[in-house]
Amino acid sequence: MGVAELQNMRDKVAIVGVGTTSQGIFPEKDGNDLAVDGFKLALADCGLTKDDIDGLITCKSYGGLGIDTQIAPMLGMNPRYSATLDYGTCNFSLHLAAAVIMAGFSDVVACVYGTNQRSNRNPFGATGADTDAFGFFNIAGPASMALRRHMAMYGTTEEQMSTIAVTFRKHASLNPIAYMKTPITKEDYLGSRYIVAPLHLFDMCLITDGGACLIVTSAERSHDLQKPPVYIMGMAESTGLRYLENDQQLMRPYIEKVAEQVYPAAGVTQKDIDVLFIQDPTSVWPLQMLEWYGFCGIGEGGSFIQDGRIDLSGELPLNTNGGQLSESYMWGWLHIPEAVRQLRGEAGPRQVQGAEVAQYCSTMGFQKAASTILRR
Amino acid sequence: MTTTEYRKPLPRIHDPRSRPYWEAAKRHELRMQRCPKCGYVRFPPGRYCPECLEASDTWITLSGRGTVWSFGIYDHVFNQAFNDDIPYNVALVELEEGPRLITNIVGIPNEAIAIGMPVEVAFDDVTDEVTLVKFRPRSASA
Repeated sequence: MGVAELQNMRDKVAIVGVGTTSQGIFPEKDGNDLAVDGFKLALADCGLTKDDIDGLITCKSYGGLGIDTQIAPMLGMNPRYSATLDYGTCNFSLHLAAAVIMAGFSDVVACVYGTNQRSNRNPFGATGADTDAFGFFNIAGPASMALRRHMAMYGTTEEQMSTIAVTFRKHASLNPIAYMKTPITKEDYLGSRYIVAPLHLFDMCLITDGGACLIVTSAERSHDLQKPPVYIMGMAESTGLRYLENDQQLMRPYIEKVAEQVYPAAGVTQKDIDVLFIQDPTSVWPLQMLEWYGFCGIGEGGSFIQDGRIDLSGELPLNTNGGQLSESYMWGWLHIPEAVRQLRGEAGPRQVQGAEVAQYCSTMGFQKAASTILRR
Repeated sequence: MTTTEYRKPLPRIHDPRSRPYWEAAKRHELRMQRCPKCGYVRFPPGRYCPECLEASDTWITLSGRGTVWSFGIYDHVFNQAFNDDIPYNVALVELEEGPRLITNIVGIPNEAIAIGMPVEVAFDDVTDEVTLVKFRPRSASA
């Protein structure tokens, strides 16, 4: 399966700078402007200048923006290497950056993303697919099917699910850049309207504007910079690109193949993870991924998350930034900056004491999965 | 019903790959491509068999029988054309022959839909040109 090769990547590449803009509604800026804002903040974080950056990995964003050929001119850069990924989640961009650095295409790579899909009114409605005819819109559609199936198979309840939204909101209340900081209760969750039943309003991620950037380089290069490096211990990916042709696709069994690779690659187990991040377009993602990554058994996610276990002070703090449900929707780009801040001890009131190892798990829709394990 | 009254998004029935599927639906037949080489029934329609990459195909008529894998009830208007339908269901149906498709369950209230429910095809002539492939609870004799 190639785990031996992935092990060779252990601790060879580090994140040295992170930048996250304010998150919210910025109608005066477009997505590329916000990507530049994130880039400037990440440079300031690591003390490098733009002339030190010789690799640029951008991420497509709403409205046809986010392309490397648009962003490099805005940054006034002619990097040795550049690329644009057609999807977010940050893990895929980070893994490409690590591969680019290990292969020698670049020494220092900036991964950037910016979006103004809130101000630009992304409708998240019709996509042009034939399934639009049935009213099958938004990621909430397949997510609702996955959750209903999980409930039917394993007895997962809406009351159990409320814990995810309520906990993330509590974490967001401690995060200065979070867009939604007002605490919510289980009763608020259960009383909220359905978007696509059984998914409630509070199961859905926000729609916001913002920018983010990671600066990535080799371990050798990382040591003499402004902040302590955060090393990539392990990374792995898997796909279910045949989508509905695959059996049980919406339950995402292919995620287990990431788990089978990423822990051996990093040389750690689930018990070593001090703080966990799971991308959360809806709360179904944390439910499924806690299971596929082996933090609990398949079908046990609903009960596993109870009793404060995923709380900041619990045994497995999850999405200490508030995630996409409460911090901001940045297509998964804000979880890794928060992981880096946790491992540097910079998370302020959200700090997980003694955090040494963090993991981030994400998916591109229902079709690709990736995970990264980081250490200080 | 005329096309001017129907405001919901329509499938691309003139796409050369999928035209036989929509032409069959208009005749109230559920037809898909079976690979003459390996027997795989493919959906959505495509030039190549995704199992063995064979380029040829044989259009076959399916049983129209399947089961509900899962479903969601839309209570939010993502598209104004569905404003009057809220709450409406969207389901994933697994056909006996293997393919899975996104559809609506008709003929019963949303509350009566269940995972694993046996269903059969129900054609919905939404315009003069377009017939959508929907499903209803399977009758006992089917």
